[in-house]
Amino acid sequence: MKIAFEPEQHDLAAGFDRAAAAVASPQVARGLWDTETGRSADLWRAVAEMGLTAIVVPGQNEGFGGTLVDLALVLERIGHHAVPDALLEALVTGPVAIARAGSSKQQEAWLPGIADGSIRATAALRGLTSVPDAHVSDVLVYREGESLHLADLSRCALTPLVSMDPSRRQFAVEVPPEAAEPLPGSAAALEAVLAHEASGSASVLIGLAQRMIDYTVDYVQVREQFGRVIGSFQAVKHQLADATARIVLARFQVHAAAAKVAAGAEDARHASLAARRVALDAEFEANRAALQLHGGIGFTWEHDLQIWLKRGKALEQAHGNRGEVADELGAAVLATL
Amino acid sequence: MDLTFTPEQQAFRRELQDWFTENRPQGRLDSPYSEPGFSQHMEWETKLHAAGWAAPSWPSEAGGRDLDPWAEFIYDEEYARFRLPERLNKMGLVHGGPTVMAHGTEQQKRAFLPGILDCSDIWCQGFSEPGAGSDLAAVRTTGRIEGDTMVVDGQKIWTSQGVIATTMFALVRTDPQSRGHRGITFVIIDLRSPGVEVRPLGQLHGNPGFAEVFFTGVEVPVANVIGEVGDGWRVASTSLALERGTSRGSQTRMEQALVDLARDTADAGSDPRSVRRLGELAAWVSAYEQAAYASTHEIATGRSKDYSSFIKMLGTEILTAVHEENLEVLQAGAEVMADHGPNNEMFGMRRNYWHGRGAEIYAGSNEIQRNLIAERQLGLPKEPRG
Repeated sequence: MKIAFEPEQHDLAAGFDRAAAAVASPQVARGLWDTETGRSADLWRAVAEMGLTAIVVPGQNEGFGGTLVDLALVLERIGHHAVPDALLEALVTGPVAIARAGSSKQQEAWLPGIADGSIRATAALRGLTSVPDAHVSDVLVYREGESLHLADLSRCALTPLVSMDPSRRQFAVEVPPEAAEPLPGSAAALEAVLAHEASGSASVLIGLAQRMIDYTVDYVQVREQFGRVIGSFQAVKHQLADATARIVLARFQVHAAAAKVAAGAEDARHASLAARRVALDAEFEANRAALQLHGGIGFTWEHDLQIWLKRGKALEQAHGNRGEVADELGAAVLATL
Repeated sequence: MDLTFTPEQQAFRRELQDWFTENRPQGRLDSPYSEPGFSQHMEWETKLHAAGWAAPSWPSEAGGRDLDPWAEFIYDEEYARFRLPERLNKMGLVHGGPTVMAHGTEQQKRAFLPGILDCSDIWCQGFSEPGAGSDLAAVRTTGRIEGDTMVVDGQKIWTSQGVIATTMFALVRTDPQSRGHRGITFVIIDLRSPGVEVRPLGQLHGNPGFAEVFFTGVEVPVANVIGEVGDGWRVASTSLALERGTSRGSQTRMEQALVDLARDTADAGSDPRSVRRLGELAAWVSAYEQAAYASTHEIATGRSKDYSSFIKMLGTEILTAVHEENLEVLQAGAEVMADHGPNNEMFGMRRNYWHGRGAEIYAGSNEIQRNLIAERQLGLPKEPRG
């Protein structure tokens, strides 16, 4: 039993932190809100230069042949920085689906470009009505019923939608029948692809939740009311303790799920659903407490807290919401009786 | 990251399973607070002890097997999985004994530890007092030192196992001028001494075992003080961390409670609301299990990240949530459910439900755990005292 990440995995996350300070700061995010694509070429270049685009791409397709565990801490940092980009889909869900379910022709066509960052993937496992970053991506992986398909986005029609999070760019995508290609291995790979999405998205949520609480812990130690800092009030402390306890326990599950998904363990899907659900609960509580304890200042447009609050609310729904995930997990538990 | 047990650990698990299968008590034991029940429990304890399974993680010179933290974890899991009887001397095994090992002299270890293992001494914890629940700095029981003797006067309350205990590890105030956590001493008191009166105290779920313990001029050798006189706060903090820090198979019992809930949910027709709630609870039970693993990992690697407050607070609340949902699913049947478990265990849902509610109070109430998390983990300032 080794419940620890490798030093290289920590180093990669630390490297991402350094890059994000320059290319994904709140100031950068605000600057992108009013641009046409909402996306930063500098950010994408940094991601590709760090090799993050190649991690889950197999070695024979010019990737690193790594796993979700190699990216788990980075995904947490992506949440921590509320990076304005659909990186879960680009770095994990899209490439994993093509690598696991694609024909060798499809893999050769897309994966080397994905690995070097010249091609971007996005994914929609829950319908084509709200697809992230379709406008800057080249290839889309989507689910129809129990099978996965792939489409060249240059042949698809995109309708932009307005997201509650101005950093999220969502599109309704219409795939013309002649552009749809089935991924032939999808029957066998679907469960693993879903597990990657659930587990990876849980990592992002944990990063978001922790950042909101870090922010708030700092704030309640400087904000004074009734003659003392509000962080000394038990009513404030208990809210932060509750949110923190949820984050701590949820993070254990999220890391375990990443390891199980990476190892293709029998209970990987179960573990990833549990991870997504507890991460959702932790984020939900952190989101609630962060705004409540910031009070009026947290409600102002100029304050950066909104970047995390809105990303959290958007991501609570994006990859299966609390109810959907619990329904699926509850049914899975009953099936084991 | 590798979440699998080594072949040696798996072999150890099988060895235990074999031994438990062969030696487990047949049928249900009576309550240890009844005369026949006490002998039945003693019989099981004696069997465990003879085979070296009484406290396998204790050092061999103290009568254990020197098991490492992961082996101890596996032992606790299997003990819970086999639904074996609650340990008669758990306060001594889990808290009192290890505190003596950490802070006691060699002579004290020789004097106190063997009696815990063979149950010739049954230990209880004397921390709670009528005016001091989670606020241990408010203890008022006094210990007046006269030469080699400490004279103890006062009262302890809500003492688990108090009815059958022979030995109490207690906090007493040895400096009458002192306030708060200064001037407190950790001492081991023989409850068979003159001046000790143990009165059984009923518990709300109907199970006996609780007691209030009165001390009137009880003479205790000063040699029974663990650590220094006046240093009891530091010694007790070891015991408290042990009490709230380790999961001791609780993750396994929580999983069993979840499986019981799943069965009852299926029997009741698996309506969508119950299935959703089952899934939600399954997620948190799983997270708790991972927390137990992570905490053991910290201990096994000799690091010191302290997850004890998180484990105590959320663990008890998740378990209560599982029980609450089980009552909901049983509907009117919950009111009249049997005293015993579906596998004829001594304890059924009714006892486990209320015991779980109690767990949110003992070992430092969950409100205290929230303060500890806020102050120690998040670095928030202490609440000013009036």
